[in-house]
Order: sequence, then C-alpha cells, then structure tokens
Amino acid sequence: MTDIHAHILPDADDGSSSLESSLAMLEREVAFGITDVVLTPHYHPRRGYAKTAAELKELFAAFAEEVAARGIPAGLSLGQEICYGEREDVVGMLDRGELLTMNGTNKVLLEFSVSRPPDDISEIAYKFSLHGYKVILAHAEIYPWLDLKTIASMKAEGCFVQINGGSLLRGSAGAAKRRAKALLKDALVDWVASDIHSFRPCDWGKVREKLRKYPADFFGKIG
Amino acid sequence: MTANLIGKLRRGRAKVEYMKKDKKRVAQNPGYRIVSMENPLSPAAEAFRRLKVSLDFLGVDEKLQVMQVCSAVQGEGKTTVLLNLGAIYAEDGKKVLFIDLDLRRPRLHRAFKIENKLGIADYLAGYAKAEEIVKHVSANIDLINCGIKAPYPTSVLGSQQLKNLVEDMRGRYDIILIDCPPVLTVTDACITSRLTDGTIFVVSASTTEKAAAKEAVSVFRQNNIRILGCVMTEVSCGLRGSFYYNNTLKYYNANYGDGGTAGN
Ligand SMILES: [Fe+2]
Repeated sequence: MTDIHAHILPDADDGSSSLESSLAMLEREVAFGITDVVLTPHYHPRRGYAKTAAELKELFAAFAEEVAARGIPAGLSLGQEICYGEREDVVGMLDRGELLTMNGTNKVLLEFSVSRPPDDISEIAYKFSLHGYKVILAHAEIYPWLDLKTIASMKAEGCFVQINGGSLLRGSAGAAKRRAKALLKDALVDWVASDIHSFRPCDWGKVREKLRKYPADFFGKIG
Repeated sequence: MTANLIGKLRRGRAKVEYMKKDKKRVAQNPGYRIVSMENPLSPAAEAFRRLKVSLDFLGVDEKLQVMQVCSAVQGEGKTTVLLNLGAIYAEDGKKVLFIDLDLRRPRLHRAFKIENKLGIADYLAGYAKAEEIVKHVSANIDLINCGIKAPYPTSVLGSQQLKNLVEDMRGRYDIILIDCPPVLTVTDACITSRLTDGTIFVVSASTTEKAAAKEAVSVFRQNNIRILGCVMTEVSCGLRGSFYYNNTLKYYNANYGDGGTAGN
C-alpha cells in the first residue's frame, strides 16, 4: 500500500520541522498499513519552498538512513510536489534535473493555484507530455475551477489523478468532498494519498472505510 | 437553407476500449489521431475519402478552396474531422494548409506533436513573420498553429491582416482548412466564416444535444454562413438505438434537404 503524496521529509518544506515529528508521522502511516511512501516536498517558490534537487536528495538519504536504523518497515522513495506557475519553466527545470519526478519515473506530481486557474490546463499537461513526462494531478478535487469533464478528458490524454483521503472525511470543505466523491464514482481516481503534514494528519482508517465501496486499488506503486 | 449529411464516421476503437475500461461514457479525446494517415486502408479513412468526394461535387460550380470545420459545442470531433480530411487531400497530391483559429482552445498542433509556439497570433501581433509561422508537418501538409494567447480573439479574427494572410495563402495552397471555435461558445466562427468558401458542420451522434445542434444552425442562418453540409461523428452500432442517434439523425433528415448520405 503506497502513499504517493506526503510531506514527511524533515526540513524540506512546511511538512515537518524536525526528525522526531517526521519519524512519528511515518510510524503512524505504517501503523495504518502503509508499506511504501513517496516523499513529496513542495516546490513552491512563491511560498518560499524551492530547495534544489541535490539538497532534497541529501535530506532524503539522511532520513532514509535514520528510518532504516530505527527499523521502521516503510519503503521510501523521493518525489516532489511541483506547483505550476507561468513564471518558472518547470518543464525545463525537470529536463535539467533541477526538479524531481516521482521516484525517478516519468511521472510528475503537479499542483496548481487554487484561486487562480491556469489558462489552459490541458495544454500544460500536453507540454509536459511533449517532454516525456506524465502529469499526476495532485489533489484534483480541491480546485473550484477544475470540473469533472476537464479531468476526464485530461485522463484520456494520459494524465493521472490523485485525491486526498482527507477530502472524503467529515470536516473537509463541502465542495472538495463532493468533487472527490464524484471523481471516485466516475472511476477517474488513480491514487488516494494522504498529503500529510505534521499539522494535518491523515486518518487512514476512516479513509479506507469511505473507499470500501469502490473496487479499484488506489494505492499502487509508482512505476 | 439546406444542408446534406455529407459524412458519417464511426466511433474509434480506442474510444470504445476506454469506455469499457471505465464503464462510463466520458467526453474525451484520444490524442487527435489522423487515422487516414496511420491506416489509409481502414474503413475510417474510406469514410473521409467519401467526405472529400462529396465536397468535390459540392464544389463543381464554385471552387471550395478555403473551408472551416465547426461544431456546436466543444468535443464533437471537429479537429479530428479537419485533420483527416486534410490528410485525404494531401494523399491526393493537393497542397494542404491547416490554420488553427480556435484561439481560445488551440489543439491542432497536438496532432503533429509540436509545441504551440510562433503561430498566427504571434504574426498578427507583429511578433513573427509570415514565413516563421508556417510549419511543414507532413508530406503535402503545412500548419499554422495558434501561438501566443490573444487577449481579444474576436477582434484579432476580424482583422484585415488575417484576411490578407489567408488571401495570400490561397495563392500557395490547393486546400486551406480552418479550425474554429464551437459556434455556440463564442461568435468567432461567424467571423472566421468570412475568410472561407464554406463551413463544414460537425455533429456528434452520441453527445451533441438536439437543442444545441438546432441553435447552432440558427446562428449559422442568422449570420448567412454557407453550410456545405454536416458530418456526423461517433456513430456506432451500439448507439444506433440511442436517443441521441435517432433524434439527431431524424432531425437532420427532416430539416436538411434530401438527407443524402455520402457516408456508409
Ligand atoms: Fe501536498
């Protein structure tokens, strides 16, 4: 059971500011039955998260070593949650290895501004595909401007869809919950992930309860 | 005004497979494939050849050199029809030019796996020269993609500069096919129709709503747009008994002349 979207890597973004809290987060994931986690720190320069790929790899190596030393049974790999902006040439940065794909594959976890819709999201994904990348839409349910029809056509064009488990639970914003359910109902979801931050834990038990009525596997390995 | 059903195109296999997999019919686009090029002997290519023959006959008296392909709303297959029709002309030895004037949602470049850079909008804004925007994409086929996002598409499309460019291209190509925005979304298609010798109207047998098709036709009528005929896409055996298929087809036969079919 893989969680493909998690901000557990310490000191990489706003996910966790200490090794101890990161280890606690990971242990909780494992307790819920998660076997593999892709660590996906933010690339979000406007919010100040712009660590280089080399820095992240270093942080990852140190963390993986610590996890192994403590015998926490979780397979770790590294990715990045990239915020798309017109100002940065993120595709070029990926090409140059300045940004990270998911676990070294051609898949890219991409998020957008919630309040400011991109001009033509399908065209953005097309640009990624021209350079050999496949876009995973991170928490596709949270965008008020992103409708089901657009998501469906993007999927047909080769994109993948990830939703946050938390969106299905009580306490999440009504609209996001409604969209998440609609995506599940239309079989448009490839992954359900935690998008876990230290200040926002994920109750996998409740999430799995909500997912029981859908037959698909939402926790596949990234490969 | 009358318009014949000049083409019928079956639903592609890729689409059916996709539907089966997800057990759900969703609006989607299998990557703007040009079957007439990939598989010239396929029934689909044959259907496009018949469409071309229909157009040849429609052009007996007045030469049809510049045509636009239009639909009521988005996602009915207009770009696919345009690409395949162009491929058939090219196969026939004609020099073909595609122009993407769907400035709000350009897609034509995708069929040739190129980036949407330096296009018609760049030219009209003065950022590029005419020779820079014409790309040779395939044997006998050139493409002018859309390019930079134009903030005021309608005024761009009505510009004298664009008119001059198309006139100039008439001297260089045998056939010019223009991709324009859906007629019910914006008024662009009415404006671009003035650049052309006629409009091909694409209707999806499975998704176009009767009311939308009807409204589109009244828009054409009000604007004196010459409809060469309508092409019905996504016709499938399974859908033959469906609401949309029966209603749309009946509608066209009843309202558009003799209902003659060039398609299968
Ligand atoms: Fe995230």
